[in-house]
Amino acid sequence: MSQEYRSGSRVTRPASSLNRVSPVTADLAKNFQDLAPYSLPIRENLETFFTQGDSDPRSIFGPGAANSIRLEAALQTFSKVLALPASSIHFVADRSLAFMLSILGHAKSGEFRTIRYSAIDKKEVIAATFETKGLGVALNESRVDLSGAIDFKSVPASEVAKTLTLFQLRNGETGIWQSLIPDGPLILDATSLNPRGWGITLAIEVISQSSNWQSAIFDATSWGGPRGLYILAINERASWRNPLPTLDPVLPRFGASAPLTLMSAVALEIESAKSPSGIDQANIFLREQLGVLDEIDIAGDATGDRLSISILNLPADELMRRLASDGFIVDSGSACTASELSPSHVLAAMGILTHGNIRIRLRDENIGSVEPFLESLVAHTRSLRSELL
Amino acid sequence: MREINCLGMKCPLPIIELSKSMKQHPSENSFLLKSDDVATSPDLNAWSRMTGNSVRVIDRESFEITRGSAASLD
Repeated sequence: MSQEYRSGSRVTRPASSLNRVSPVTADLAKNFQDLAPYSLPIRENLETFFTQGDSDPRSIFGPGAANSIRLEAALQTFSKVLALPASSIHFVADRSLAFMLSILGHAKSGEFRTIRYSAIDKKEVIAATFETKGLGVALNESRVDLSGAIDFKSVPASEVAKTLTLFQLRNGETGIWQSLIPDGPLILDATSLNPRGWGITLAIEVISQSSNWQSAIFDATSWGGPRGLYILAINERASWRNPLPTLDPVLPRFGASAPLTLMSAVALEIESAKSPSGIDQANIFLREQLGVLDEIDIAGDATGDRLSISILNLPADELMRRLASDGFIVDSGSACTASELSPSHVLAAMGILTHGNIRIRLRDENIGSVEPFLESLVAHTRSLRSELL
Repeated sequence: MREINCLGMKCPLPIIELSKSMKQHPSENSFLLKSDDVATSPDLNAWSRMTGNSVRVIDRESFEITRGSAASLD
């Protein structure tokens, strides 16, 4: 057993253990984290975006005019790839703000008596939902099963039109898809949909075939864009009122940066042109090969770019440190990692182990490129367990 | 019943200490795990499912563990 875990809470490790990832190694590491450095085409445009992209697009002379043209082109890209009417699209700088605008805006219309959400919704989504209680809206939390499927309680036919459902098409932490679309008006949480594969197609289907979608929220980081750009689409037929105090009938940009908007459009064009087959195969391969380890939970049976793996009797922080020493950087939803002391509410709601959790995001991987990572993960899991038990 | 005092320990130590104690005392059938970490309750639920052992909640910080006959916290 390791001295580091002999008793009590975690103790300080030797400096040699903490410094195993040198700055040079970190630069060369294979990054499986949710957020990654920008791709080359985005970096090549950065200077233009930041030197000219913040020019006032209302000006018809000078760089403002060019900026206006670029922003209009970006809007058309979002409209085309996401199959949304350009007039429905609003850019928002913050995810919490995007959900708050959507949820409170629909609640403020007075059209809905009940809002349904699920136990695996994002914390800020649940928090925004709680705010609608002040508007006289009743709340209804749906549970999830071990596979991550949301059990939306049935609503009486007379209440369907008055019940607004927050529908998370895909969970960002586990990668699980929800394919059973509930009846009635929907707010689509599309923040974890990558434009590759059928994920975005599902969102487009829901949007194009259902008159029930009220609004939809997309996150530029899901297609390799920058943080700080969220797309809030509001169906023009939906009842929605801006919940923020304003004297201006025209909706503002909600703090969104013009350079980040342009970068997001470039990233979306690049990502949507890629083939999904490689990452799907890599995902399935990892799931199958991890069967050599006992007592692990791999959330759901999802394909696509995300995996969430929970390993019994294993401290995620030490596993992450050892993987990093081999050049593999991953995320974790475990409470034993540094950033958060409470366990993942998503994993807990599903009944999945919350400790020993690592999260992997695949980008341009294939089976061959994930094999070295698999070997490292299996070897460190076995050695850590033998040290601890 | 063997007591495993993990009060003050953070995730994943309570579960690791429980697994270790069960391994070290194979003839012991039941264990009392004391833990005040917020992750222990949800993790015991998953642990029970994965290992086939049963868990009974006594209070917020006390959990009775019995070998086999898996039953979750619900």
